[in-house]
Amino acid sequence: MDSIKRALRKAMVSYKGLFGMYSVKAYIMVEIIGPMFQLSFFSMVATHVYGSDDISKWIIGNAMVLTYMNAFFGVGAQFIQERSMGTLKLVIAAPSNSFGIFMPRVIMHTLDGMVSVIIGLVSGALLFGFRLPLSQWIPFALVILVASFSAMGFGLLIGALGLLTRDINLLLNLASMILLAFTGANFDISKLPVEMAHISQVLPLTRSIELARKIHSGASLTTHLDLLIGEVALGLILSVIGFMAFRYLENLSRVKGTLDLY
Amino acid sequence: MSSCKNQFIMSIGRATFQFCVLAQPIVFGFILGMMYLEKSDQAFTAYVLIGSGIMCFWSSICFSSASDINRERFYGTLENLFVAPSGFEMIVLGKILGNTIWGVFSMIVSACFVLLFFDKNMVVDNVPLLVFGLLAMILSFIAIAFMLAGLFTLSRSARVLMNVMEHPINILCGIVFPLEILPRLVLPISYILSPTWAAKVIRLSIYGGTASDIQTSVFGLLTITLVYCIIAARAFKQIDYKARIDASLGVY
Repeated sequence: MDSIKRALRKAMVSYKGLFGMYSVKAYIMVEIIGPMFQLSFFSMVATHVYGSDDISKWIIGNAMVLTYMNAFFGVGAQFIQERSMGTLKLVIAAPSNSFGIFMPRVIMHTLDGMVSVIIGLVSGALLFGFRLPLSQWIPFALVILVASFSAMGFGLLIGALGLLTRDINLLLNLASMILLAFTGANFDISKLPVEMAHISQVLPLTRSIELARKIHSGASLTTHLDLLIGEVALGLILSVIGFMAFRYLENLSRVKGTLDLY
Repeated sequence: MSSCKNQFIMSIGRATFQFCVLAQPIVFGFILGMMYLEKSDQAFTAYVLIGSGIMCFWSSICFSSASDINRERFYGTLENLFVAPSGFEMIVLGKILGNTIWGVFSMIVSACFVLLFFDKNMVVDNVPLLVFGLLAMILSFIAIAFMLAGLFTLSRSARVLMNVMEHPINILCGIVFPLEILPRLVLPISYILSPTWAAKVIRLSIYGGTASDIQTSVFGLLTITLVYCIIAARAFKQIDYKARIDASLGVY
């Protein structure tokens, strides 16, 4: 029980550390206004391109993609932030396991990622008349949770790889755009050239977006469990690879003494 | 000119700017191209080939004019620039020109990628008008950047604002979709933004239009650009006054 409390405390402290420098106004801008505009922008393009009858499909896709903010600029940026603050070596040298330090942070970002998706869906409801049947709210919420978790796994992997670079921003922005382009958020994956369609299958959110759209159109979660399990498995695999990459780089930097070197 | 040259060399060294100038044009071109794939060649030219380029140009202007001022403030050099003999406005203008060159480059990257990747034809009804529209748009973006740089000099929320400003302009100015799909209520805001008029001129050059439509759009674009220049010039005078009275130029 103590360890759970400690993990939650770490999650809260790290989350506050990330956003603590923002005023309430700035926090609202980053957390609500920014995602709202992004979703509105792509929904407007979808309205023009695909017709204005029902753009729920694209609202769902673009709302799910909003998890990238937490995945990359929260989870993904955590290693590099520690390094730029000069605290990465302290974290590595601390007696506690670095897994126990970094993983709790993922919990908070997973929850916050869910909030971003909900903000996107609410914007879709207010601006574009998006509706979700009440009976589908619980399975839909489960899909959002799984999508957010899976995206955080990808963020962990990108964050670990970011330790190899001098400036992680290019990598983080590129990874966000890849999710926007290849997960089917804005156009059907079937339109992609065959080689590119393979990329979609190894990315988080592709399955979640597909599943969320099915649930929205009335399908039962139990009939599409393969998509849910696939997304959870992908999230786990990405998290494990991400953490292993971090451990490898940690060991390498101990040997070479390059942990804080850019 | 030396400010422009320095900015041109230094800005591309930053990863975020590299993303804006090199990667984003390709990704936006790709996403919009896939969305507009089944539309006509004219729509593809207007909204993907040119539209995605304008979006990237706007991103580079938006991020650079805000972050450059913020960066100088962070390094503690904003005050030094402010009192430099060359004049703060001229230094800022040089920086904007340096970024503008990269902005134009990002448009070219986007257009080249779209032309090479998608099997679509570029259709333009009036090439001289397209060239004029693009040049006037560049001038207009320089005026906007100048105005924003002034506002961000006084604002402490530059970093937050620059992250939030990108998409509203893309929406309000109808850069990658027609303005007609926007709610009527927001149209007055759209018409006081020069990219709206620039996009109109460019679209008229692609789809064709009557002489009066073209004249109205060109007049709108040039008038609003001129208004932005006047606002920017006044803003810099105001900044000078406020900075000396409040003494808070370098304060976060």
